Amino acid sequence: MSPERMTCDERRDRLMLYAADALDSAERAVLAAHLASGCPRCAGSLAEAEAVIAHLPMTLEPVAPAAAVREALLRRVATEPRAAARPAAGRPTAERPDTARAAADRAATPVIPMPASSDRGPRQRTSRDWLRPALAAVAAALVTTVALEVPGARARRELLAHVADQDREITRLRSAVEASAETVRVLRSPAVRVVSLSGTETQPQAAGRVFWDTSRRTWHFYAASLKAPGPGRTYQLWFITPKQEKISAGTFDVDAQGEASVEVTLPPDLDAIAVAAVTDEPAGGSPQPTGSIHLAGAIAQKSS
Amino acid sequence: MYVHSETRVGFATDEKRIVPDSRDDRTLMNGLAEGDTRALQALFDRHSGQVMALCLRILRDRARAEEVTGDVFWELWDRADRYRPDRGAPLAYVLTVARSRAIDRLRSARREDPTGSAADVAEGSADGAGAAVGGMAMRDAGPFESAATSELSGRVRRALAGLSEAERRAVEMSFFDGLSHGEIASALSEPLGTIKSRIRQGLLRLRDALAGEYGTMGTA
Repeated sequence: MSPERMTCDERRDRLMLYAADALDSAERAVLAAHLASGCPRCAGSLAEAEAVIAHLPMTLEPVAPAAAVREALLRRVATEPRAAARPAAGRPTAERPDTARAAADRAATPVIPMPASSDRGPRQRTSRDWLRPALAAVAAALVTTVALEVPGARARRELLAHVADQDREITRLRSAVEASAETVRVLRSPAVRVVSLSGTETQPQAAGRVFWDTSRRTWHFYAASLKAPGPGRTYQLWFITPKQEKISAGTFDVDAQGEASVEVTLPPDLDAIAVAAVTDEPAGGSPQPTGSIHLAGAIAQKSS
Repeated sequence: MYVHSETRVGFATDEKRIVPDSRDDRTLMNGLAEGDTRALQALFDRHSGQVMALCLRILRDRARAEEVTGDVFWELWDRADRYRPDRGAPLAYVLTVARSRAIDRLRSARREDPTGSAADVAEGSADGAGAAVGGMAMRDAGPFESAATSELSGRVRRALAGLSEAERRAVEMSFFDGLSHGEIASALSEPLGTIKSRIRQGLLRLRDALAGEYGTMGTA
């Protein structure tokens, strides 16, 4: 049955769960609305439920706190103005973090003496009482200052670290998006020529592709299924001109899947390229190819 | 049914003697509102053991429990205006504040160290509500308060003992460990519906077992 249509007898059970904070938010809201209407019967049921819940701790055997707890409490009572005595605006609340409270206690203790006897009657005034509002104001100012500085410090650090992480992630994603956008642009551009490279007998499974942006004079080279080049070796990409000049386009490594990508700007004096090839070379690369050829592709001589 | 007496014991107002304050809890709560520090001391001496036991049961850490216990009594003093006599007995209010602050601290600790949470709690709660804590006689409680508290705790304990083991455990995990139904279900590897049903049945049984006692609990 929906809570809206319940009788107050039926609500009594729900109020038990309401008091135990054991209802879902929708049910809770409906009951809260009914209670807010001022139904005296349900107010009674709620008080009953709260009494049952509140007395569950009565099953525990009492445990004495250390004497220092009582002493600290009385010291605090003697030195710290309480909410009722403070102006409402900007006053520190009872819920403010303990770090601020502890700091306030420490700050206040040396300057504000304990009353000579804690059995002194309430509201008895002494000749030093005129000092108390002033000292209390100082203490309150300290509390406020500390409360501004300390309570959220940890949370703030965590938040800043989180924001920094997010910034890094945004930067990474932005780079990834820009790279993807560039790839898409290259693929769409009429100025781009596509060159396929095939694996040679050393690695027949390997394959490569060059997207040659003739307007920007850049190569986007992608390789797949290349084996790791072996210890102390690296792969090197070469432009080979129709005159068989071999010009290094740089070295690259492959990832665990045997894939690699390289972006290269063509040298300004390079007029024509007949072949693109990949060799394995000593780490750091070679001025001229010395190792085996693993990928090679001929380029039709249309334009550079 | 026990009803608190408004009887004052004469020496309570004799400032030269260190004696228990025999004023009843309601009078002491009124005293807080009026700025009576002796009322706070009396409430502390009378109920800090119960508050400490609750905080210790929830937090399972003596230093934290003591810190929260101090905070609870400070809050009673600091925000004495929040207590409304028509909403129930002072002790119920004190324990409600204590539970709330201890659960807040527990959740905050769980946020800082999410690894030690529901499973540990499930293991711990098997000890039962009161088994984990050492005993202590209530210090300086007035004779009426002492008798009333003792009588009440016996009634609540008997009521709790009337629950099935599964119901009691689910109610305790919800109440003392501040776990959501989902967290309890996960810790006990039980379906969520089963846990909800146990808590509901457990609470209703408790209420029915305490029906009639409520007058004492609500108005003491």
